Amino acid sequence: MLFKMKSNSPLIRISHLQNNTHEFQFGGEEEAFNKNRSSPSMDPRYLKTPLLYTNNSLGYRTKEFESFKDNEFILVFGCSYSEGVGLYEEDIWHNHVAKMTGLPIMNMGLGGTGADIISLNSTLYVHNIDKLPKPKAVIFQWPGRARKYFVDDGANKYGDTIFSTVPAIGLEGEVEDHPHSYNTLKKLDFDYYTERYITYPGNLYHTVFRDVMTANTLFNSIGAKTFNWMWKADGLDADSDFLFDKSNIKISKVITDHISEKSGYYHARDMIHPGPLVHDEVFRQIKPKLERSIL
Amino acid sequence: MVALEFPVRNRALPGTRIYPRTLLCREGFKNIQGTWSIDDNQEKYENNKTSGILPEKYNDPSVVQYSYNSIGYRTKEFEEFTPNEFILCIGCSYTEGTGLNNSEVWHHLLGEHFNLPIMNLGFGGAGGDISAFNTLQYIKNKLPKPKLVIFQWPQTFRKMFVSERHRNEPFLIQSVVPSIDITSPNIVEDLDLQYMQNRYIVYKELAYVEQYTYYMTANTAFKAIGVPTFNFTFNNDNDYTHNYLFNSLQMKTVVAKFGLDEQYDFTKPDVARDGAHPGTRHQEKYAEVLLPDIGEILNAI
Repeated sequence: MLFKMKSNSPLIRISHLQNNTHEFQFGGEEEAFNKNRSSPSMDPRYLKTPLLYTNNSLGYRTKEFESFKDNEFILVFGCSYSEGVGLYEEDIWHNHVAKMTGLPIMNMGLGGTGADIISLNSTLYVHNIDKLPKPKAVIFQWPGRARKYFVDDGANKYGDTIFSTVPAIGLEGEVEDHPHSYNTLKKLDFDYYTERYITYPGNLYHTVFRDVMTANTLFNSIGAKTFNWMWKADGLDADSDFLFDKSNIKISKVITDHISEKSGYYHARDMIHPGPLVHDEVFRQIKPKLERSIL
Repeated sequence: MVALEFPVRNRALPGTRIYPRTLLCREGFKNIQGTWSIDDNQEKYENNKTSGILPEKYNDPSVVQYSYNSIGYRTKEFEEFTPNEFILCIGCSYTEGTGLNNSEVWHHLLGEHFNLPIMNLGFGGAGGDISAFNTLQYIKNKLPKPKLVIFQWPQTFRKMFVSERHRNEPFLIQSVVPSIDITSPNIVEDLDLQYMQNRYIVYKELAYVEQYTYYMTANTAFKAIGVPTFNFTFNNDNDYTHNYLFNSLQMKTVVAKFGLDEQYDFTKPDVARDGAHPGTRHQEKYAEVLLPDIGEILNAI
């Protein structure tokens, strides 16, 4: 996944999705959909009504930022689960939050991102709070802990954009599949990532803790309450929980393993991401904690 | 492969550990009182004295004294500061004042001028990542609110790494500082050094983006709670002009310039007792350069 950061942009831009309405969000999505059209697991709604993604002027799957009113919306950060890849907007977990609260959702979910991008975007959001609407509350869905961005020394080295890549998922496959497309830089990042970052994860734990702490502290500082959750399977372990347990930041762990294909249409349209049943279960589990903590 | 621009070695941060409820704990410096510290020890002093680089005033080493608080910072206990009545200074050894008395460091001279005490969070060997992390911990853990924060940003290529946790102890951290020569003792540190050497300081965009993030995070965090900030870097650390992202940052470059009428003897460098850091005359110059900007901010509060 590629992102761009521009010094005069209030948030990270997803340049290839800016002001865009499209049917498929990432390269393999259309292929997966076509391949699985006749699968009994495919929700027939996707065959009848096209799923269209509409992204705003910075490339997020949400309305224009200026259409939100101060203290009258909930801001959501997360990865593709929150972006709702393969899902109608009405099926994403946070749509249930919107219905419960009567408040619209500003969806800052970004597929392929980790805690580092969420932290950076949170920093940019609070830094630019004079230009962006102030949320009533912020909900963070924290992605898989091992995701990490790297920055490419590309052709735009002295231009106005930079590139970030999130290699945690599929990096190994990408390198194997396209060995010649990866330059020295990416090879060095890949080696470091596999041999050090995820093998000796002290640095990883610290980084996730720092990113979660940064995002929460900044929004709390401007008076916005925060709530944190993650899938248990995406989660941290005893070593990293050591940091969180002794901190005053809590992350609710959601378990949806019991929702299986036998339960119905388990998958989203891309047959990769969890479908509406799983998102319903996410909301069921976080609802009481949300009511207690931020609403 | 692009040639190395710096030799890269670990900068040990003795026993520095992450405790979630306070700032990074510099266990090796906790409650130190006296003539020496870990970064400025007697052995190094004897070597420097023998080589003749030290000013005469350091013939008696006890003219420099250290006093660190209970988590290893060269300042009073945090709870002894009165909210809104002190200046918080965050930086590296140039702010910690290695080789100098605290009263001789640039920030103390500013504090005296404005009649405000200084909370010195200078951290020898730290890069921007440590400054930003400590900033967030400071705010999250509700330490006393300062009247003003001054960030002295170290060179951009410093980077902290975190070791594994053993025996239920808190995580141990270390920082890599280009050009300081301390060898690395284990495989994780070797991997970190290789990454620094072959990637981080060679293909620099990642370091620039990270540095931009640290600056943004630290400044945004204090501004969000209504505390003004001032940012500077010393001339010899200044990599902050090399990337378009930095154009949007408010960063003053500080350099000590001596006029011909100031009787500065260039054959006898003005160094601190450790032989590595700028001496007392430089500190006076730094304060002189910073004074108008700091005065302007304080007047506007």
